[in-house]
Amino acid sequence: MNVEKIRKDFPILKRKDDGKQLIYFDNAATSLKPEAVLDEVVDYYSRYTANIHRGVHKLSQEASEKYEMAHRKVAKFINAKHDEIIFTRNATESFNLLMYGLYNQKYFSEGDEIIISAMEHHANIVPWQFLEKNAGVKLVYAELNEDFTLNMDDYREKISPKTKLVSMTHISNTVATITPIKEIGKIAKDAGALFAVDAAQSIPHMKLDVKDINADFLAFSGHKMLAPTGIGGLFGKKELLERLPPFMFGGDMILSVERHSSEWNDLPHKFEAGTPHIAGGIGLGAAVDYLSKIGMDEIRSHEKEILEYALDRVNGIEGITVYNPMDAEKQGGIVLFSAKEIEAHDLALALDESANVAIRSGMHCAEPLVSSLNPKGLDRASFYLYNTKEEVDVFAEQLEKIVKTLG
Amino acid sequence: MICLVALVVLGILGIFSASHRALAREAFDCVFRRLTLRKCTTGFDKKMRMKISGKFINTNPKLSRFLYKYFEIISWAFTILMFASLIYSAAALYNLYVYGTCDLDNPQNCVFTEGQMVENKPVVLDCSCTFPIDECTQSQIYSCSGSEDLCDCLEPHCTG
Repeated sequence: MNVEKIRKDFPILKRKDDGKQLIYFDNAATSLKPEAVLDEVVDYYSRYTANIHRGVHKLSQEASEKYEMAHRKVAKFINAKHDEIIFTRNATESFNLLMYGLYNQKYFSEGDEIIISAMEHHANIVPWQFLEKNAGVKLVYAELNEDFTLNMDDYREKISPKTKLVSMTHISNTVATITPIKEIGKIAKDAGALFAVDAAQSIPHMKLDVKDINADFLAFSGHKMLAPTGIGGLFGKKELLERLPPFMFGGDMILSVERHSSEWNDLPHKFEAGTPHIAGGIGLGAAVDYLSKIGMDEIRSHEKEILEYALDRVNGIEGITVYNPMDAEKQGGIVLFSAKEIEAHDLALALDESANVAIRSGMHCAEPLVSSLNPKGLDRASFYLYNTKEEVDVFAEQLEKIVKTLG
Repeated sequence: MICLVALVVLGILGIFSASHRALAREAFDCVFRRLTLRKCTTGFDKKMRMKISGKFINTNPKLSRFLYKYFEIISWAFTILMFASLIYSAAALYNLYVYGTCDLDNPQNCVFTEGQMVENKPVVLDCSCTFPIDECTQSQIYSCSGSEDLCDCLEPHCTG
C-alpha cells in the first residue's frame, strides 16, 4: 500500500495552519474524503441532478441507476444482497429504525432482556433505553475485563431465555476493543435472540462479512468510511426486514396508496421514505469502490502498524495513561489516553493550537464507560489509511512537550 | 471572567474580521448566561486559555505555563482594568459634554478642550523656531510643536 500516493487523493491533507501541516487523528469521529468521492458528489449536482424513482427522463434514470448501484456496491462490500441494504443517515438512525421497527412489531414483551456491552456508543444505548421505559424491557450490560476486552464469561452468564436481542459493537469507539463478534453472535443465536452489530468503527477499517458473522442486523455510518456525511446504512436479513414495519411513511416507500390504506414497497424502498440523500448515496458507492481498490486487508495491516507504533510512543510518555487493550490484534486504530493534571479538552486544544494536530476529547458519545474512567473526559487519537508514522512522531513529541509544560 | 473582556475585544475585531465573529458570539453567549445567573457551559474560557497559552508552547514554554496556570487571575486583572477604563472614559465624556473639557483639574491635558490649540502656543515656543511665530497659521504652529527639525522643515511654508 503506497501511503504517499493515497495521501495525494485527499486534498485536505495539503492544508496548513500557521505554517503547520494538518495532522488528522480524529478518524473515529469522521474520515477525510478522497477526490474520487468528492468528484462523484459534484458530478451528481453538476451533470445529472434529478430525483430518483420518479421521473422517466434521462437525468432521473441516470441518478436512479447510480443510487441503486451504490446499494449493490455496499451489499457486495459486506457480502449481503442489495435489497438487504437500507440507506439511512447514519448508524444512529439505523439503530433507531431497528428499535422502532421491533417496538411497533411488538417483538418485545414485558420482562424481556436486551444485552449490550459496557463499551457501547450512545447510538447503541439510548434507543434501547426507550424500550426500557416504554416496553418494560430490561437493558443488561456485559462487563469488560481489566484490559478493556469484553468479559465473555459475564456475557455468557447474563444471556438467558429472556434475552430477545443482543446488540453489540464490533470495535469500540473508545477503548477500541475488537469483540469476538462471531462467537457473540453464535451465543445469541443459540439462546434464540436476535443479533445486531454496531459496525460503525469496523466497516471502514477491516473486511466484514455479514454471512460469516451471522448478523441479523448491522448498522454503519458512511462518513467514517470516506463517504459524505448524512449517509449510512442498516443491513438486515431479508426475511427479518420484510417482517419489520416501516420506520417512516410517505413517498417512495409505497407501492400503492388508497384513501385509507397503503401497500408497502419492496425492500429496501420500504424503509427509505421520501427523497433520500442521493448525492450521499452515490458518494458512499464511490467510497466503497475506493476502499475496495486498495483492499481492506491492506488497510487493516497498515493501521495495525501505525497503531503499534503509536501505542508504543504514547505509552512511553511520563504522565500519560492509556486505556486500550494494548495489543494491535485485539483492538482497532485508536489510542485513548489522558494526561495527569491536564483536562482532556485542554490537551486537545493545545495540540491543535501548537502543532495543528486534530484529536478528539470528551466523552466520545460513550459516557457510561468514559466517565467511569475519568469523569472529566479522555483524549482519543484515531488513525486511518492516510496516516503515517511521521505524523505519529510529531503528535507524540508535541504531546510530551505539552505534558511537560502544562502538567 | 475572560468572556467579558473577550466580548468587547472580539466584538470590535468582529466588525472587521469574520473569523472573530464566531468567537464573539460564543463570548456573548457566555456573558448572557452569566448575567442570567446560569453556568457558562460553552467552554469558552477554556478555549481562550488554550488558544492563548498554546501559541507559546513551542516558542516560550515558561510563558505558556504561566498563562495556563494563572489565566483566571489574569482574566480578573483585565476585567478590572477594563471596567476602570470604561468608568474613567465615561466620566471624561460627561465632563467634555457638560464643561467643555474632559479633564476638569488640568484642562490643558485634554486635547478636546475648547481653545486648547491656542493654549498650546507656549509649547511651540520651546522648539526654537527660526521664523516669526506670528506669521504662521495656527495649524502650522501646532504641527511643529516639540521638534526642532520639524520647525526648520516647516519654515518655507510659514514665511509665506
